[in-house]
Amino acid sequence: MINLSLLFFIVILILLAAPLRKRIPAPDGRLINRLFLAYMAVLIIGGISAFAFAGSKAAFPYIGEGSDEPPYIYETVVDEGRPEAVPEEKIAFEKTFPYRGNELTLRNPSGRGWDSMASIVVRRGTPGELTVTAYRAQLLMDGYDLSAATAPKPPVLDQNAGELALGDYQSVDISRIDASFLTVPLLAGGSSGSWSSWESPVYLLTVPDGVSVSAEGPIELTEIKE
Amino acid sequence: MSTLIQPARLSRKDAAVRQITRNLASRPGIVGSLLALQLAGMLFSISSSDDSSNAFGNLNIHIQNFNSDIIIVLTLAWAFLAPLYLTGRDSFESDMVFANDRLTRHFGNIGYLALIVLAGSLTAVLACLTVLLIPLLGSREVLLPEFGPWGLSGHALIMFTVLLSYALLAAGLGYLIGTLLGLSRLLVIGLFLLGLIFLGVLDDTGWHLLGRFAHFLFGNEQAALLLIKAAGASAILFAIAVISSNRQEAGA
Repeated sequence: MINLSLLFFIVILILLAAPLRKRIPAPDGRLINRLFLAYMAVLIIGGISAFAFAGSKAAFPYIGEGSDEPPYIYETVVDEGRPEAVPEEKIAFEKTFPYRGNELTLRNPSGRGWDSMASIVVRRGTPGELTVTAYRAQLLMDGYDLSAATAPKPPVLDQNAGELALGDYQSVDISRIDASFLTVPLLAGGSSGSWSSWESPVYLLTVPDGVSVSAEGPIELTEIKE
Repeated sequence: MSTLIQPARLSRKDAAVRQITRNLASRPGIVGSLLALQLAGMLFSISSSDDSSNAFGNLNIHIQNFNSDIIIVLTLAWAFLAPLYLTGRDSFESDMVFANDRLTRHFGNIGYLALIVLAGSLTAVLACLTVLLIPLLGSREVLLPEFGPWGLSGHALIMFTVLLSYALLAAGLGYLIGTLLGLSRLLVIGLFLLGLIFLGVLDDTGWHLLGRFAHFLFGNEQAALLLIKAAGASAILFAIAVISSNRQEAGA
């Protein structure tokens, strides 16, 4: 959309400049041609630097709309209880803490309340060690994979209080450059405003035997029985 | 011996080239308006970005869209309007002082138009690229569109080719309409109405002439094909203008 206040400003500027037009003689062709050549030179520098900067920016890969449906992590991990079945590249991070306590409180410090539910699956593992595994949820916008910006933040463990705080809710700012309408019939990847479905984050928690786990905040807690 | 060059001794080619250089030197309005419009377009494009926010559970995605289409639109509008100024009555009369005859005047004008449309398309695409610097130099993450197999340079090249095609068509159309307006305003209105009636009757019979023509012209897979077709179509438009201006009278 055109910025209307700017349009208004330009129209007022032109109206204010109109009386000056009679006093100042019209610039001759040579001056205007030189101005135009200077403008062209500035634009050539600007265009080349735009090329340079565009190359250095990390790109969100284009996958194509609906072409790559991710395997549903919630279904595999929470419902079926088979975390081993999730492929390696779907794991966002795996973090191990040493832990000696008997009780563990999970906290989801989300300002959004129950909207931003986190699902946590508890599994029993080796003593003295606490491992948190977070899964990468794929988010596609118009076929562009935004996973690079939407990866979950690592949790923070408070050893004394026995509290594990999950990552807070994230805000991601993206500048999107639209392709020109001139290339729309010739190139793919236009903007249709479609979003893929988004899974609430799923964490796999491996805690030692004998540690009792409790949850605070919008958390769905399930345990894998072996 | 006089050092003045006698117009009668000039060959047609020399006269046309002379007309081009004279146009380049003495028409600050055309190049100046292009400069002003593109600068205004860049200002508009930088200042008007639309924002959208999407919330997904624990995730909030805020997207700012950057679009530089306004530069292209203003350039196309200029490409249509500039030839109207070139074919106006004032310009016709002053041209007849210098040029050999109508044909050289037209060749000179068309050459000049082709030259500035080329320069204008080039600067428009470069301006669109330069405007990209604003999001690229910002601290946010940048989502670049899918630019095709050759990346940004391929995208810029396709943009330039398509814009040049459209601008040539706009310039041809503007030149034809300007020439016809110089002949008779009534004629233009009459031709427009007759054309509408003709196309309407054809549409009623199920033969969509305009749609078929547009599909032939614009429904291409390749940008180069569009440029060839558009250059041909604008050459036809220019030719019609040249032929019809034979009836235009100087000093009338």
